[in-house]
Amino acid sequence: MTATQANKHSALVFAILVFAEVLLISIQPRGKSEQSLLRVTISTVAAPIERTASSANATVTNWWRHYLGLRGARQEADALHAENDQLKQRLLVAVEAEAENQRLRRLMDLRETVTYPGLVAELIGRGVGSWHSRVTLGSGVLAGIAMNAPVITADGLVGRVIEAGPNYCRVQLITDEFAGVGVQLATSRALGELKGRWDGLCDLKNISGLYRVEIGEVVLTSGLDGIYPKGLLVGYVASIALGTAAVPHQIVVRPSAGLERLEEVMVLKTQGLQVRAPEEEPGKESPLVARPKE
Amino acid sequence: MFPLKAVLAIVIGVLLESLLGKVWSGFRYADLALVIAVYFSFLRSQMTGMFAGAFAGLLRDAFAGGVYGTNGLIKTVLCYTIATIGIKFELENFALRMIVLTIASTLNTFAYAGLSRVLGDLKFVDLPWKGLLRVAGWQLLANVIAALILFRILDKIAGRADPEKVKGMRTRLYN
Repeated sequence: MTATQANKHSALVFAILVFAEVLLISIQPRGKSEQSLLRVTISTVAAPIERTASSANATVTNWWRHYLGLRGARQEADALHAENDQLKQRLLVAVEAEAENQRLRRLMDLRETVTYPGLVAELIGRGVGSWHSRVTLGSGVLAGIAMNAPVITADGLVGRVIEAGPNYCRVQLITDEFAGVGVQLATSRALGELKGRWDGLCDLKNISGLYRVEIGEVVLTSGLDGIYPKGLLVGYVASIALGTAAVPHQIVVRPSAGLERLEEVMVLKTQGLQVRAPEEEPGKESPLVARPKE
Repeated sequence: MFPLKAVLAIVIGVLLESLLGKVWSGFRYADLALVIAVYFSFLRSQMTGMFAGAFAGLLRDAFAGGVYGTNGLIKTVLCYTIATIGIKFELENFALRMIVLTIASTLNTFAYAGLSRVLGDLKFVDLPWKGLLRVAGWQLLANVIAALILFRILDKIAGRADPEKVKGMRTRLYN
């Protein structure tokens, strides 16, 4: 093949490749969901690898911590060295196990508090790229996780499932700029909409300037968005630029769930249950009580 | 046509992105798939360049949000262009490679935001310039740091292109 032929051949392959990719982009449904067959297939294959790599990473991190812990002990007497090593290793394992137990116990306690059924899932990866705030969990449809399922920790709301494969699911965090949550201020009872921001905080929109809002006020889910059950802790008011009768407050909310340090979360199984809260009326039954859809 | 080393490097790169992002969210700015695809575009042929770009982009699309294929399309075009330039001009110099990576990283960010906006991704419809520039800046910094490390590792693993082969290709191209 001459250089010119090779060039033409490359250009032809390039054109076909670009055309195929444009076709791939154009056949996807717009607006409803990011779930695409190819993405789910690749992620399903990658999930076990990601899970294994995540475990390996945890092991290496533990060994590294262990190594750091042992550096001081190396200067001690030879007779004590081996014993010290063993004890520290056991202690490390015990501390790790206790921390894990505590986290899981808190999630179990949460399961009793929240009336929706839920399952505990492990975080196996963070979504790549800087545009979207997502995390990947190591459980999927086979474990009973459905699209739009709310995800929480004992500390508060995490987000919702936006992509569910057989053995993994992807969660859009509430700090994602494209995420929206119907919320209510715990004290003033004002209803608003929570939107994610660039910096890991959230904007609370549409709170009339007539409401009295204070820094540190608790923000809860309102249940009016039809996705998140009412009454889940979302975060706390971090700052306020006071509005007027005509201009709403500009409120910044700090999520309570510690979204940068997630390890285990609980995915609520709300599919087939009535999540949407009724308009608030005194004396009405709490919407946290799950009711089968009619 | 498309070396196994490139496939492995890209797969490991994307998995690393996901894992490192779990350790510290600041790592999410690094586009390791782009850095690795650009590396293979420097050293091989147009075919290798475009397939490295397409594979890196489509794999990254599977792990990132947005419309599937956006990264694939952009990285295919970018890497094909770099590979074409690499045949015509000398890009073996480390400083030159960093300059090309800087341009590629910036173009990648702006093209992704632009294409996503055209495709109706609501996230990008109201995206302020300030926000876009901020992300582009952080991505550029992260990619350059990643390239400083990865290019050296890849030079040892994948090896540079055979200078005689590149010279031969250039000679044929210009004659």
